[in-house]
Amino acid sequence: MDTMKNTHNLLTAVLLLFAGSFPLAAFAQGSLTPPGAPAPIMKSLDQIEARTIVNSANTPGDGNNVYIISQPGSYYLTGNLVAPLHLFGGTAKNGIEITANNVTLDLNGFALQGAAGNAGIFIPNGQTNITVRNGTISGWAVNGVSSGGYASVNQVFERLSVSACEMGIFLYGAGVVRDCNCYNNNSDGIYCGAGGICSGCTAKNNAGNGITMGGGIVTACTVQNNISRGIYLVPGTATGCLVEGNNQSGIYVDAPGSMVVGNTCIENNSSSASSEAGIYINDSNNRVEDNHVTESGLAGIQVSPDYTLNIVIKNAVIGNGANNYIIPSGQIAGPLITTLGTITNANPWANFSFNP
Amino acid sequence: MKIKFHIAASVSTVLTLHSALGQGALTPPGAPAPVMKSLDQIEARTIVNSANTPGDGTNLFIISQPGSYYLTANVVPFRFLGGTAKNGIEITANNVTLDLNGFAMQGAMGNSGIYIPYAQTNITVRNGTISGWAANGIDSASSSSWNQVFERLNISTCGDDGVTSYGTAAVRDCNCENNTEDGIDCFGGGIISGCMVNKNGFDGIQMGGGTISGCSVQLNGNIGILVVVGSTVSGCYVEWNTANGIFLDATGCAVIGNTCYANNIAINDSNNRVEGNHVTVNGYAGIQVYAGGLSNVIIKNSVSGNGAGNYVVPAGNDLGPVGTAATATSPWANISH
Repeated sequence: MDTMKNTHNLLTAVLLLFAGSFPLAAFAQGSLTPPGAPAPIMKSLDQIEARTIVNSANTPGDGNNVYIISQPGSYYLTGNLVAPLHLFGGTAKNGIEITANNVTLDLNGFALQGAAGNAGIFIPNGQTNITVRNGTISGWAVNGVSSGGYASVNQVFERLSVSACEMGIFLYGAGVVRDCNCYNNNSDGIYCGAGGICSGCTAKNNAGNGITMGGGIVTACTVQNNISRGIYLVPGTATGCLVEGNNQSGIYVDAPGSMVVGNTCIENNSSSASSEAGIYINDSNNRVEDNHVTESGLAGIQVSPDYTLNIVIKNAVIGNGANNYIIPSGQIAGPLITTLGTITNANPWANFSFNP
Repeated sequence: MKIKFHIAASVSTVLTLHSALGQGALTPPGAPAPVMKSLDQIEARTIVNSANTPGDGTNLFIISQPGSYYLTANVVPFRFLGGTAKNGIEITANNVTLDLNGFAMQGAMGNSGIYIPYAQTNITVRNGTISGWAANGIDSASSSSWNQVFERLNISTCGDDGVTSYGTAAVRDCNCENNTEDGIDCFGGGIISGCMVNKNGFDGIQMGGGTISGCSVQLNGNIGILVVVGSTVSGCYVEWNTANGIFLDATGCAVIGNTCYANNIAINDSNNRVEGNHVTVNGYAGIQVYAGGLSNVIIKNSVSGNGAGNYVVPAGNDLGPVGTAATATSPWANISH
């Protein structure tokens, strides 16, 4: 009897609960049809890092290059690129060849380590709009960066450290080299064959020239202890640079129309070569002004006897005895102020000449 | 029995001691909170694409809200437009930073790469390539725009100018080569610094009131640097432009410490200062003031290679004595040889 009673009570409760649910069903309900296909509401990893990784899948190489960038776009490294001899059976390869226009390559702080390789970055033709930045390039048998096209347009190399290559950065065409360091390369540190801008760079201990500029601006660079010249202008403007301890001339001008203004040159031409100096001018119609030149080998500021009409004004040269200035006839030079003490010479173009 | 007693006593003691030590509250200190960054927090900027920045009939993408935007791919409009000329990205909002993220905006049949049509404020575009647009690489069309920055861009082969801005702008560390018309035009003034401007079809740079410094300007089809409103031009290397190297068509300019090779400096207005420039090997005159120009100050320059035309300065201007550095006693002398 009790069992029947309990069963009755349970059935009543269920019915009440079921009945109580009907008023809910009387309210409007949302459509069960989805409003549309599900769509992503968050970023994918590819959207966060949309650039293309340089690797064998995305940028496969060939017999001469570890990787080739053959399409426009933005690329980056995710690891060091090491090109040791044993990977290639002795074949010299470039690290990354760029054959497309409109390419930005971010080394992402990683290193291109050459060993027996060819060039770290190789740009073979007249490519347009190429930027390479932010990393290290070392030990390549040819150049760290090698851009071979004279007709190349809009090339930028910035925030690179390049060492132990043939040339550090070699541009046959025009380009901008900004905030790069080129150390211990076997030839020039930076070579801008067709001009451009080289600013904020350090070129040190290279076996050739520190910086070669073929028509452009070299500014605010530190150029030290290179085996040949510090800055080689053919032609260009050199301004605001520190040039120190280079084996030949600190600044060598080998074309007309250059301007060498406001540089500090210390102990250059350590080889004491006869056709070198702290600043050496080997053409006509150049202007050398406001430079401070001390303790150079052989001569402070020297102009080749083969040329004329160079202007040498307002410089200070110290520590080369009678050779502070070697200015042949046919040039235009301010008079020398050689006496210590209060300056009485009022000539505004005068050069200072002292020997401690 | 005794052993059991000892075990029980030991367990009891341990439990007693343990329970006597202070315990942490069982109540959670708060609701659980995320302790790691989401992907949206790692890259909080907005992607320029058809979902976030939809375009219209004349623009592939439109940025219409303030914020920080970036590209995740090249912009190549000819694939999408079926021959209709469109701008690449139009910016209609204020307070926008657009990072091209190293990618290229390749114009082909398009109109301008970046188009800023109205009086926008606080616009920055940086870090990428713009090439091949039928009109300008960057076109900022309103003279009332201000605080515009264009930096670290490579711009080439556009059908009109590389950069043209009618408002105030800073163009910094950009390279503009091989554009059909001018390389960089800042009609509304501003700053152009550290730029390489070569081989454009007409002028290299036009400046409507501002500062041009540290630029290399070579082989352009007309004038290297044309100044149309009072400006400063300093520390530039100007070479082999077809017409003048630096041309002042304005009053109140200062042209200081530039190197002009196979190019001259010409002045077509009054009250300008030309000082400390080195000018060599020109076609006609080294430094020239055109007839009608008055009260220009020309001092401490060096000019060679034009014979009697080294300085062509009519009366009514202030020209430092022309001579050689060896004999000049005036601190304002110009050197000529």
